[in-house]
Amino acid sequence: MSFLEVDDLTVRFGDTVAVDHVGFAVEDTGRLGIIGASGSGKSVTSLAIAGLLSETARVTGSIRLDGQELVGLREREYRELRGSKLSMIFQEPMTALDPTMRVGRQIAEVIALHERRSGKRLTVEAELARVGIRDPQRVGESFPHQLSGGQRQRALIAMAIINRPGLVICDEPTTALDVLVQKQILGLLDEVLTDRAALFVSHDLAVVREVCRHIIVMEHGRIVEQGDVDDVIATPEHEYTARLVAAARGTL
Amino acid sequence: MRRVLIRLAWFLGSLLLASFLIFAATNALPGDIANFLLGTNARPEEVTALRERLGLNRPFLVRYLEWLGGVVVGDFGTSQITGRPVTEMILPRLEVSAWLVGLATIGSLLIALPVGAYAALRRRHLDGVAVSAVSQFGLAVPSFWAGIWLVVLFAVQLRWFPAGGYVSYWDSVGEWALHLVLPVGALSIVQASVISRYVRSAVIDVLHTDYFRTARAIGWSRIGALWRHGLRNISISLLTVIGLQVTTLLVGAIIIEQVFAIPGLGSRLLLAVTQRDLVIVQGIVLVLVWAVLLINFLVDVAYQFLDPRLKRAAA
Repeated sequence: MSFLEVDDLTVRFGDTVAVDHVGFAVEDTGRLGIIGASGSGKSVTSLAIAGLLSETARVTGSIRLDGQELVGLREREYRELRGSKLSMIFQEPMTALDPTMRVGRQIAEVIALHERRSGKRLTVEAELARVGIRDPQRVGESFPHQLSGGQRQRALIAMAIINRPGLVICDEPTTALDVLVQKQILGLLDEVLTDRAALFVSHDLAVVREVCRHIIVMEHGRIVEQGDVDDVIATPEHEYTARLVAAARGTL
Repeated sequence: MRRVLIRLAWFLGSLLLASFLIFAATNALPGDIANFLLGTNARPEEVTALRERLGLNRPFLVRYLEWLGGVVVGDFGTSQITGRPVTEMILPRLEVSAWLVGLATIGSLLIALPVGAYAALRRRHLDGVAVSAVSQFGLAVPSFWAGIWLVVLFAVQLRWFPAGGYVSYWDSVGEWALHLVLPVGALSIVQASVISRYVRSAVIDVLHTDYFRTARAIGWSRIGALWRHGLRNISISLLTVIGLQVTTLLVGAIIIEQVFAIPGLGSRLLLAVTQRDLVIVQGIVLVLVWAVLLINFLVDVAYQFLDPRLKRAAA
């Protein structure tokens, strides 16, 4: 049995079908890249797994995390999972942190929220050092606007892995960063995601290839192609994938 | 710090300008105190003589500076009608009004924050829409109307609170509190309906931010994330509204003082206006305008502490 199993997942907003009978599985140390343009349903899929869709969304099908069914799970229990058993890393490090709170306190909060369950007392500074921040004390005492984009994204990665989750969902984690920082952050993610399952959502084939072997390609809420990332790039079967590969040719 | 000093300079400048405008306006009113004291049957010579005695025929600027010099050291002049110093008459009333406005501000926030947050969180449900609709209705209700209904219900019918009057805080805290519940309640309810609309839209804004989503992703409930990460961000935008609303609240307090027979600045102001006691009118209007300016200055300074992005720029 895989660590994450998604079966027949469908998400509707009113009459609009955003995710259409999607299914895939990720092993407990496996990684899956989800590729697609905006509107393809890839972000909705990842938010559905985290249970963070707006209340207007109707989710059917099955999402099993470590054997536990998440579709229809009560919010109180879902809350326990978020930040401890599954976590997310988002696109915009500038706006993803509370602008009025020191970064160290925001990280400490993730520990405090799940203290009872994890029982570990980890210091914030050790966690910041773990994600490659050289002066963790200063960064911990800073407000988000006082840090660089790379430092902010590292802080968010620290928040995501601090409780040693089994699954980390990365939704375009490097899109907002400049190219050099992007490389560093991808290297860091590759390192911290080694012993856990990960979903890697991006519109960028080149970025996904850096960290994932297996990918699925989504269009209009459906999976149109899947397989080994190099095979998909070499011999795209679906017309949409072919266009995606052609468009990314320069960066591959 | 520099930013705060610039704000302080602007604040002091506006205090000065306000004092000049108020003095000029009250002096431009037709029919001065000499006319009023002597009545309509007085002969012109008598009026002129009295003007001379009261110093009213000296140049405008001299009288203004003399008055301002007094105000700066806390001397607002002497009332020609009562013969008592204005400061002595205003001060206890200023305390009453300050309690009324201050407690009503707190009261309106205590109502508006949960109501606005509820209306925002449940905006797609019937109960959330109903809460919004009821608070919209509150906008149309004048505070004296709310006051009268509170009196009918809680003073006349239920007899929980006195229908009017005032007991000083320093005489009996219990009685003081009992007498303030209804007037403060009337002001708060009306004020809260305005503020809760701002709270609602500010909370909806927060619900759409990335940091709110992050807070949810680390395990906060919607309300938990709102409390922990939304409140401070909301209070930054809400502060402006509260600063602006203090003016409305002061005007509302003048009327509420009438409804509940509370000896505040407002009722004294109305009395002074009917008696043409311009020295008192001048003094009270100055106190009210300066209070509004002071509160808006404090709001400006408070931004620097609530928003770390500004604090850094000011350092």
